[in-house]
Amino acid sequence: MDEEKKASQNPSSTSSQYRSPGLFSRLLVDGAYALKTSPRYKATKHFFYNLLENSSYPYKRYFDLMMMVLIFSSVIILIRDVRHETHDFLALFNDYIISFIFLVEYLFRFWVISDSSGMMIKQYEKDELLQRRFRVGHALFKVFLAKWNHVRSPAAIIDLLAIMPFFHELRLLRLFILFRVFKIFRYTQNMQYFGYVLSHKKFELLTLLTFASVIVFVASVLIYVMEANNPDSPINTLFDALYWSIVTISTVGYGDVTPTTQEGRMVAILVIIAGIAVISFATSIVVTAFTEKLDDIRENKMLSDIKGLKHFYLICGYGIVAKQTASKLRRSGRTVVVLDTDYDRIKEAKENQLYALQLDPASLSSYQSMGIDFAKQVIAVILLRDSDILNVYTTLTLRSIDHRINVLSLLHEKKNRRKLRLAGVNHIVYSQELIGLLSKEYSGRPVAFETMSMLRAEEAGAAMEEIVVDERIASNFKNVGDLHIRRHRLLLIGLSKLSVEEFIFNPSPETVIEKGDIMIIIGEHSMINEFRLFSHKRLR
Amino acid sequence: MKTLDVVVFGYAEFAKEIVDQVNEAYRSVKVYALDEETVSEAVKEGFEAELFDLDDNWEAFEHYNMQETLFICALEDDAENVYLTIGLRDGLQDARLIALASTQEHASKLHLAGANKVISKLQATADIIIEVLEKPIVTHIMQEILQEETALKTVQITLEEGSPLIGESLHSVSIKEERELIILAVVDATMQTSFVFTSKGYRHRLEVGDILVVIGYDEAIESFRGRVQ
Repeated sequence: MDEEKKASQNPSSTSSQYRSPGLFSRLLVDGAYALKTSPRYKATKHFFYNLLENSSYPYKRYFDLMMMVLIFSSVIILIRDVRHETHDFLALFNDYIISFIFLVEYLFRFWVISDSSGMMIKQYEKDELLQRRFRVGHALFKVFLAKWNHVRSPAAIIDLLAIMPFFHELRLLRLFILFRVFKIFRYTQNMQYFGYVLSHKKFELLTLLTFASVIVFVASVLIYVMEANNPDSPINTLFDALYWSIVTISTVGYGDVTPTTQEGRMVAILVIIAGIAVISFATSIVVTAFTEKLDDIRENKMLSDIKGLKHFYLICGYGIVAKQTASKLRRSGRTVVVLDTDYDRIKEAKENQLYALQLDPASLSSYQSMGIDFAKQVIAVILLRDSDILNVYTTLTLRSIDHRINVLSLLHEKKNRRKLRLAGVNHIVYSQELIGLLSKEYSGRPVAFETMSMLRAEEAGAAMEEIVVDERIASNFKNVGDLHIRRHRLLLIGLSKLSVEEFIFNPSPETVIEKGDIMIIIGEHSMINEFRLFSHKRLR
Repeated sequence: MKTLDVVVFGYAEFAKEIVDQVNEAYRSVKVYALDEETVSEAVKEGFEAELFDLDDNWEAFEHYNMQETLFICALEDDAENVYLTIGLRDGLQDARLIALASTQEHASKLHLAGANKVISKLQATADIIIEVLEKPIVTHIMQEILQEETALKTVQITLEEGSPLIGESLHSVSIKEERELIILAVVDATMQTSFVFTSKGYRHRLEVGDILVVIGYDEAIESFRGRVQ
């Protein structure tokens, strides 16, 4: 209370303290804002971040591959160096060029790993809000801490050690080249999975290590006490004892160092029994870790595969209609990704060789974990869930991600059509109505019906296709007559004009064709393909 | 073989839509249901309905002219629908039967049971989903033709004795009529089930009994029909 009173009585003291940041702080804040608002700086940093850290970035794999080639060539040069006089260029390449590349990589990684200017601004704005002096030391400490956390991480330490051969004059440092091999962990995802799986068994592995260490310690001391004074025994020093116990407990048992006294052999029996326990315990830990995480690993693999897909249909819900639709799409060469909450359905989808994930299609987090780009990757989302409620809910989730997604939904009950429409479904398929229409069509005009369904199903070799008039076709042909459709043994049913949003049935030869128009053509597949090529061939 | 009467078996969700769609188009549409409740539901909704059972009591249907009647088997239960189809085929040998199938497996059973046409609900739904996404314009046109939303129609015209088209090649007829309508295909009279798409069989000589499948606007079709029949 007293402090508040004081502050209100003397506002100038607070504001003068708050208004006068030092020159250094001002420079830091100005610099941070300049960097944060520079689109060029942001784009460059983003690019390097993607290249070094973002596994879904398409060019990262090329970078990783290049680094792996460098690592292996470095090791090969080291091996050659043992027996042969290394060629000058290779030595130069290994000691300077590769080390330099690794150094640059290390520095770039150090740069992109945290957002220092952002941290600086955050602290500054927080202090501004609380009307207190900018605590520059606090901000710098946070920046330092973020970088330090990176520097002391095992991966960064390995990176640093891999640069060491740069100081090749120190002979021992040349061996640090081998640390470059550990860098492979960074560039291969499988190795990362391996680390990820074992990291879940940290406690068990630590327990095992403690157990093994205690046994080794006790066994080493015991064997030393029992054997060291025996002139026939090869165990003369504490190091010999330690060496023997590690060789024995690991069940390797070289046999170069063996106990000779009765007491020593008693110790050996104990260590051998403990060794079996240690090995079986270690094996079981690794095996259980992998069994437990097998589904996760497969899921991760599936996720990264899906991220890499170019164009696909996303089917939400894997019921009988979905099965039929997915298999038909797959047969026509399309890629399909299935989402469903049900384990058995997902299992079935996987058995049908589809990309399938057990995720809730109505949950935003599912799409976040998938990390897909709807605008670039998804052709359309097909909602085939078990009820209209679920389809409406899923549509709204999708719409909240991107309003341009092309969504098709199955309608279960006629009365819900409006709700689906309101939710933003682009195409509604109501099978009951469709069957009704088909029955009516068949009852009235069976032959016409068969013709149309044959065209739809692309049976009898004929199909009805859409050909979009692109720049090339538009520059090649002025009007419908120029296309000589009949000469290609095709029928031009109509032209969908983009400019007037109108469908012209059986257009006259004088009808002008423009870019963006769509031709509806009937004919044999091969003829349609031939016509497609002909229409794109540069004629003028 | 013009359909005038339609008999629909069953009044479940798919059958209801069928009855709705065909109701206006034919002289009579009658629903046959397996229980009283369904019969009264159909009657309440303004349709003519009657009770029936799956025992071989097909004499009740003999008053229908088999040439003018279409029987649609649309019972909800797959097994019952197959049983009904086989019973109808046995009892009314000349009847034209359409049957609704829920799965592909069920569809082949209905074919074996003697249905003239089997519409697979699953297949049709999957086809339309893919069509809407892959060929939106084609689907739109097909939909308009099916729902008769535009004056554009597909019709079948049977060539009768004395038609001026007899003896002409399909190609020359198509060229002559090109301005008005498009002849999509022809069903060869001698080989009843084989289709010849105009694009492929342009040398085909038209004969009596050939069925032309024509797409065009109402007026053009009627004038063509007048000229060729």
